[in-house]
Formats: sequence, C-alpha cells, structure tokens
Amino acid sequence: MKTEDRLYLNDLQTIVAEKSSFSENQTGFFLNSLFQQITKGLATDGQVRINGLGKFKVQWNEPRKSVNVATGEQILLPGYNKVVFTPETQLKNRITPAPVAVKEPDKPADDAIKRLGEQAIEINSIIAEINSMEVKEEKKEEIQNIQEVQEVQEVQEVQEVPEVQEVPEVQEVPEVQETPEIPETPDTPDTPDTPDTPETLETPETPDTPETPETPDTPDTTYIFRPAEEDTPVQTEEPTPAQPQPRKRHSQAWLLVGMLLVIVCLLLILAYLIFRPQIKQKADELLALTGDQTQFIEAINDTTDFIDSTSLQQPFDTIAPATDNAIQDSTAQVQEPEERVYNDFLGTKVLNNGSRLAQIAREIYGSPYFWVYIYEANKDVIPDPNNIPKGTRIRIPNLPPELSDPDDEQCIAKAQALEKIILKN
Amino acid sequence: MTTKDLITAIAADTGMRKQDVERLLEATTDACVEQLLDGKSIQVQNFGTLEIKTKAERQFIHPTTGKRQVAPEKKQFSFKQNSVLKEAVNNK
Repeated sequence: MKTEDRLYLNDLQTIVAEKSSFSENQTGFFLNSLFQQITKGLATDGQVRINGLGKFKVQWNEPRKSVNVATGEQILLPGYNKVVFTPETQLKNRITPAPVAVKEPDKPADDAIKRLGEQAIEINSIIAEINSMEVKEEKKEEIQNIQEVQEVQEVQEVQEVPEVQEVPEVQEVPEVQETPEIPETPDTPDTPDTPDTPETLETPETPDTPETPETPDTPDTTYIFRPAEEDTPVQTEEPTPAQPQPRKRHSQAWLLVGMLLVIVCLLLILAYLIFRPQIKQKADELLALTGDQTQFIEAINDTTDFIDSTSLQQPFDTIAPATDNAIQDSTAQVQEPEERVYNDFLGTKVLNNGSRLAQIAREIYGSPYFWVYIYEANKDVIPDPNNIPKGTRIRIPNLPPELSDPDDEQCIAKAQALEKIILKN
Repeated sequence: MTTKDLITAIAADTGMRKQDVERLLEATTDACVEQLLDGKSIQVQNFGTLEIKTKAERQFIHPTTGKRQVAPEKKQFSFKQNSVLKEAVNNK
C-alpha cells in the first residue's frame, strides 16, 4: 500500500476535527482515549461494538504444530488471542460491487427458465418412453397393455384376412348389419373340422379367406377399395378412404382415417372391458374341459354362440375378433406354463427396493416382456410378481434364443400371453 | 462492550460530556468509513491497521457440480492488530 493511502491518527484527527465543530486538540485527546478504551474493553469484555462501523472481537487462535525450518524439528506454536474486525452488514454491503449484485440474481433467473425448458423436454421424453415401454406393474397399466396386445393381434389378423376388418372400418355407421355375419360364421363351421388341440383354434382365421364371397353383401363402394387393400394389408386402412376423394383433400382424409382408427380402438377397448369377465369365465370352463375333446368342442361352440348373441346385442364390429383372440390366448396358454424347466442360470441377483422384474428383463434379454420367464424360474421365492420383498435373491435363467428374441413378435406375444395368465393368478 | 459503554468509558476517562463524546465518535466512524471506502487504510499506533483489502479473482471447483468456476475479485474489511494490542489482549 502506498504511503499516501495510509492515514495515521493525526490525519484522522484533522478530518474528524473538520467534521465536528471541535478543535484538533480536543479531537486528538478524544481519539487517544477512544483507542485506549477500545483496547481496555477488548481486554476485559472480549468485544467492542461501535455503531456505524462494526465489531472488534477477540478470537482465540489455537496452538498449532509446525516445523523449525532450519533444524526440521517439530515445534508447537503457542495459541494466542487475536483481535478481528467484523463490519456491520450495511457497511459490508457498501463495498460489494453493485453491478455484480444486480447481475447475479438475473443470471439464475435466465438459467432457471432454461432449466425449466430442458426439464419439460426431459419430462416429455420420459413420458414417451414410459408409454412405449409398457411396464405393467399396476392394473391400469395392465389394461393399457391389454389394449396393445389386442391391437397387435388385430394387425396380425388384418394381415391374414384383410376383408374382415376393413369392411367395418371403411363404413362407420352400417357396421351393425354386416359385422355379425362375418366373424361368427367362420367359427361355428370350423370347430368341428379342426383337430382337437386347442392351438388349432388359430386356424379358424385362415379359413376366413374363402368366405370373402360372402362379403358381397357390403355396399359397392367397399368393392372398389378391396384390391388395393389386399396388396398392402397392414397399412391399407389409411390410404383406402383417401382414394375415393380427390388428392387435394389428402390431409383431410388422413385426419378422417386417424379419427376412424381412434374410434375403432376405443370400441375395441370398450368391448373388451364389457365382455372380459364373461370371456374369462368361459375360458376357465374351457380349461377345465381340455381333457375331453368332444366337450371341448361343444364348449367352443357354446362360446361362439355366446359371442353371436353378444355381438348381435351390441352393434360393435370389433367384438368378435377381440373375443376370438381372448379364446386363442387362454387356450394356447393352457399347455405352456409348466413346460419350461430352468436348469441353466446366468447368475443371481438380489433385488433392492426399486427393482422390477420387467426392468431386469429389459437389461438382460433386451425386452421387458420376458420378465415372465424370470418369474417362472423363481416362482418359489416370488409369491407376487407385483410386490417382491426387498432383498429377495432371484436367479436369472439363461433363456434359449427362440424364447427370448426381442425382435421376434411371436416371442413377445408368447411372453405377453404368459404374462396374462400370471397376472390373473 | 457496546457503543454506549464505550461512550461512558471515554467520557469518564477524558472528563468530556457524553453528548460531545457521542458527536465525536459519530464523526470519527463517519470519517473512518469515508476514508476506508476511499481506499485508504487507517493505522493507529498501539492499536492496529484497519483497511479494505481486495481479494483477487480465483478459480474454484464447485463442490456439487464439479465444474471449474471463477470467483470474481471482491473487497473485504480487514483488521490487523498491533503488537501492543496483542499483548494487551493476551496479558489479562
């Protein structure tokens, strides 16, 4: 510090004398006394507070070890009292630069907005991920999952027999008349023909193709679309309604198609929810009767009759395919669960609080759907797959590739079917 | 020891009136603050030095984020006690 910046007591004395109306002698006298008294006060009280300036305080400095630089010897520096000065907050604020004080609150605000935006994007992506993941731990999610399963199977059906589904979709209103005939008739005649095993129930859908001649009942407009639909079975639903309309209204047609799809999906869900308990009952009966072939067939006939009656009551076209699927699932699953024996294990894992089987399956097999196999392999330690106690040690089975191919839709469908059974139990 | 106590003590020591002491003390603190903010240091014999020191800007690593940041330079009041004051404080 430069000498001209240094104020001594006599300098201070002149300044104070100018400020107050006292003579320099008086002020000098006062200042001497002032610092003496402060020193006294520090020695007796330990602290002296001066309004408008701050606080002088005695602070004890602990003795500390040190090393004698010359000899390398360890020495103990004695502790001592030290006078420290703490300015008043008002005074302290005066020396903190103003621009910085203004800037700092601004920056965090901007940052906060940015962060909020980023968080919003993150949340959106997480929601999207969750929607696509379909980890079903709770009943709500289970329902969603069932919808998806239905949709997947619906799509499969569309591939196999494009006419059956498209006819109802092209025309929204007149569904009532045609739909009962199309899906039901195939089942009743087929069941007697088909062999005993329940898996053959899937075949009823393929025979539908010969029945296409029956669909001529439908209005002429549908006829026009049909050839195009057969060429591209999966996505035909969207372009078909657009064809009759001029190309200019393409976007409108897409909108219409989208709405149609949404309506159909909703109908599917509704139908499934309404008839789920009844179908389940029937399926249970079927399970009980699997031993006896004739009874089994009768039972199937019963169910189809039941479906006939229900679908006649309800004008929804989507009922029949949905119920068919349900029966397929339940019957196909009957034989599966006990078949697998897990001898080959990849390793063990101790579950902590947040662990979920689906999550583990996703890590190990690449798809959350295969959690059912982990559950099967650990049935003895997991009483309830939705509520696994913390600390449970599970074994991770080494699944054969035909069971655990995350890219194979059949594998996933199989796992989903199995999942349904497990969740029902 | 509060300001009041200090005024009483000074008044008793010098024989001045308390109001005068108070006025003088106010003038002194004002002058001190003024001079300090002006960048001057006040050195009092047998007492110590009071000044505003400038701490240079420095880099530091944020403990939670682990990021390297620069703390801007800042000013700080500092008081360094004189050897006489140190003795007075340590020899009770």
